[in-house]
Amino acid sequence: MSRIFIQVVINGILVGGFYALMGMGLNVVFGVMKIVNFCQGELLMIGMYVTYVLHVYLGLDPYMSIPIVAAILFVLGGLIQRGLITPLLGGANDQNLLFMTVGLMMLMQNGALVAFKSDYRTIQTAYSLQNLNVFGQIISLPKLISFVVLLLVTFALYTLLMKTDIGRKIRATAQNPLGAKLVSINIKTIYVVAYGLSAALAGVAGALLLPFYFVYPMVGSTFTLRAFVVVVMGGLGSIKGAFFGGIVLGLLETLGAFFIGPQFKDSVVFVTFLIILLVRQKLVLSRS
Amino acid sequence: MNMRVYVNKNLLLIIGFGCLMGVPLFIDAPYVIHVFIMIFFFGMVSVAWNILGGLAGQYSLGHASFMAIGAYVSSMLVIQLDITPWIGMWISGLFAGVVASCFLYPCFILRGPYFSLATIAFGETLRNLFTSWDAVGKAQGILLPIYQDAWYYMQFSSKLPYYYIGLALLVLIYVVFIYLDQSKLGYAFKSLREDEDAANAIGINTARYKLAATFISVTLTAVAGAFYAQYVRYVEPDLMLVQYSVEIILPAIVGGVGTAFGPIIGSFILTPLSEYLRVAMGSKVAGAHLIVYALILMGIIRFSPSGIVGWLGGKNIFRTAIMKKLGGR
Amino acid sequence: MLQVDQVSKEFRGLRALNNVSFGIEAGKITGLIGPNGAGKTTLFNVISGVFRPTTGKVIFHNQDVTLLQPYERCSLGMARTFQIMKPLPYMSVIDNVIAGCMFGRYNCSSLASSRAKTLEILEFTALMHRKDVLAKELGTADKKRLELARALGTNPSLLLLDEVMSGLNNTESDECVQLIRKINQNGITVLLIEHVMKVVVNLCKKIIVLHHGEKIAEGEADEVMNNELVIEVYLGKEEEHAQA
Repeated sequence: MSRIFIQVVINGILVGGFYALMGMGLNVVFGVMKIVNFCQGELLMIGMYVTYVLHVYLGLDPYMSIPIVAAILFVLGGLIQRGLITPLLGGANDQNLLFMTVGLMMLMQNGALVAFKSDYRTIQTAYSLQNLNVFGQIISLPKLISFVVLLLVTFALYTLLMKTDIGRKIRATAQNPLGAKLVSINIKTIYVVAYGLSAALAGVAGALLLPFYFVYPMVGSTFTLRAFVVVVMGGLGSIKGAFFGGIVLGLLETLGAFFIGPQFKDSVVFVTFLIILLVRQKLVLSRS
Repeated sequence: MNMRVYVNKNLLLIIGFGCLMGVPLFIDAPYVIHVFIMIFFFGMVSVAWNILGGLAGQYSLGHASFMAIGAYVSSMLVIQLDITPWIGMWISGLFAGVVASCFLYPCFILRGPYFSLATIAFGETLRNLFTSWDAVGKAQGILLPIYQDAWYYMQFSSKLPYYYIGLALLVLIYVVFIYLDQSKLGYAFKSLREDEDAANAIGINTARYKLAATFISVTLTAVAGAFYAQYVRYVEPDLMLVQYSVEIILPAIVGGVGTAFGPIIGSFILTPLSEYLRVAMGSKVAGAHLIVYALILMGIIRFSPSGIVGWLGGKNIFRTAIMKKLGGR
Repeated sequence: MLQVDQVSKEFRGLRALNNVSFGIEAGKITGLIGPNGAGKTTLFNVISGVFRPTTGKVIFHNQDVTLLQPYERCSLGMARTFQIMKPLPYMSVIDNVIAGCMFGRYNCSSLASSRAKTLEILEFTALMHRKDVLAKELGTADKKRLELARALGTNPSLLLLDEVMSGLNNTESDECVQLIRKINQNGITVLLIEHVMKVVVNLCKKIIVLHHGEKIAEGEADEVMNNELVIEVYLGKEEEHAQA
C-alpha cells in the first residue's frame, strides 16, 4: 500500500515539475510586464508540435531538439511581444491585454487545428516506454529525464537572472521600469527578451512532454490553468515560488486523484485556487 | 432633440422587430431561417453576458460553461424527469445562476483581468469534470431523443417555431437589460464598473452587487443554453471551451460593450459571417471561423484606441452614424 | 463625533502611521496638514475604511467602526473625496450624483426621488449647467465640484476632503472655500487635508499636524502656526533656512 503511495508521490513531483516550468515562465512575464499571459499553454503546445515535426520529418531526438525548440519559441515570443503586446502596455486598461492573449490563444489553438487536425499524436523513441527501477520504485524514464532537465533549466534560469548582466536588467525592469529607463536600460528590448524567454521555457516543457504524452490542439489549456494556480500559490512574480508551487500542485493533483478519484483532478486544482484566493487575498488584489 | 432621438430609436426598434416577425413569411429557405435562429441565440447570450460585462464591468470568460450548464440541466430534466423544457429552461437557468454565484463569490475580490482568469478557471474545471463524468455522458455528451409530442417537448420538425421562440427570448433578455440599465440595480452596476473604490465610498456593497449581476447574467445565459439544447438536440462538454466564451463576448465587443443593442448588432454582423465560413470551409477546415474571430478580437484591441471598452459610453460608430442621419448632433 | 484612537498603520515594515490619536468636534471644520509623505491620505484611508489599521481604533458617532467596510461607514454618515479624483468617468454628472443619492443615507429607492435630490445638490454646487456632460470631460474645477456633489449626495454628517484645492487657481480656490463654508453651515462636519495654508487658516477652527506618521501638533490655528516644531518641519531649521 505504501509502495503505491510513494509511487503517487513521485508521480506528483514529476508532473509538478512541468507545472513549475510553466509557472516560472508565466512569472517572468508577469514580473517584468505585469501582464497575465493567457497563451502560455499554447506556447507549450507549439513547442510540442515543433518537436513532433522535427522528429517525424528530420528524425531528431526530442531531447536533442530542445535547444532548437527553445530558440524557435524564443523568436516567436519576441515577435508576439514586439508586434502585439508592447504597443498595448501603458494603456489604462489591463483587460485589453488579457483579451489580446486570449485572442492569441484562440488563434494558436485553431491554427494548430487547421494545420494538424484534432488527432492525438505522439512519438515513439527507444526509451519512451522504458522504466527505471529506483530503490524498488518503478519510474518512467522519460519522466525522470524531464525532471532532471527541469532542474537544470531552473538552475540555468536562476543563474541567468541573478548573475548575468541581462538578468540584472530584467530584474531592474521588473522592479522599477522608470528607474530602469533612467539608467539607460532599453526596456522595450527587455520586454521582448522576457517574453521570448517565457515562450522558450514553455517550448522546452513541450519538448520534454512529448515523449510520454500526446499532442493535440487543445493540450495547452490544462497547463495554462495550472500555471496560473501555481503563480497564485507561489506569489505573483516569484520564480522560486513558482518552482515550489508547481511541485506542490503536482502533488496535490496526484494525491487528490488517488484519494478522491481521477475525474476530480481539475476540481482539486480549482478548489485549491479558490482556497488560496481566500487566504492570500492581499496578494492578488490589485488596488491602484 | 433628446426626445426626438428617443422616439426615433424606439420607432426603429419596433419597425425592426416587425420586420423580423415577418421574415419567415417571405423567406422559407431553412438554412436562412437557421442563420436567423443562430443570430438570435448569439444575440441573447451576448446581451446576457453584457449584464455582467458591459453593465457591471466584470468581464467573464466562462459564459460558455454557464450556457452549457443550462443546456445540460434542461436536457437531463427532459430525459430523466420528463419535465417539459418550457418549464425546465427556467429551472436550469436558476440552477446555473445559483451554482455560478456560489463558486464565483470568493472571486469577487479579484479585479479586472484576475476576475476573468477566475471565470476561465471555473469554465475549464467544469469542462474537465463533465468530460469524465458518467452521469452526463462524459465526452460524448447528451443526445436528446426524438419525442412525439412536439409542443410538450419543444421539438419541432420545422424551424419556424424555433425562430419565434428565439426571437421572443431575445426580446425578453433585451428588455431585462434595458430595465436593469435604468434601475437602482443598474446604477450600482455601473458605478462599480466605473470605479470600485468610489462606488464603495458612496455606500455600494460591491460584493453584493457583483453577486446580483452574476446571478442575473448567468441565469439568462443558461436559459439561452436550454433553448440551444432544444434546437440542436446535442450537448457536449466542449461547448464550454474558452473560445466559445469569446464567441459569446465578441458580438458585444464589436457592437458596443455596455450598450443594450450593441451585442445584437454585433450578432447580426458576426453570426452570418461565421455561418458562412462554416459552410464554405466545411468540416475540412474546422475552426476556421474561430481563427477569424480571434483575428477580429486581436485587431480591435490592437488598433482601436480604447480597445474593447471603446464603446462604453454608448457612443459607438453605428449609433453616432444613425444619430447623425436622424438630424441629431 | 470622530475619534481616532492610537492608530498605527504598517506596510510591510514601513510605519506609515504611528500611534495617532485625536478627536473631531461635530459641526466644525478641522484641518489636517503636514509635509508630503506625512501620512495624511493614509490616515484618511484608515478613517474611511479603505485600510485597516495595524493597531488602534476609529470611533464614529460613538461606534467602533474600525472593522467596517467603506460602504458601511457611508451609511453611518461618513463621506469622502479622493486626492486623485475618482469620478465615474463614463457616466454623466447627474448620474454620478444620483448614484450618491441612491446608495447613501437618503436611500432613495426610485430614480425619480434621486433625481429630485440630485438637482438640489447640483444647484448647490453650481453644476447644473453641466449636468448631462460625461464626467470624464469635465475640467479640474468641475471635477472637484462633482466629487463634492457626489459625496453630499450620500447625506453625510462627516465629510473628509482630501486636498480638494489642488489644481485650482485663485478664483476657483475662493469659490471652493465658499462652498465648504456653505456645506459646514448646513451642519456637516468637515475634516480636510490641505496644503494651501491660507485656506487652512481661513477655514479651520482646529488644525492637526502630521509628520512622518506622527501627530506633532494639535490646536487652534494661531497656536499651531506659531508652533516651533511645525515651522521647523515645514521650513527647515533656522540655520538651514539662512543658508538657503
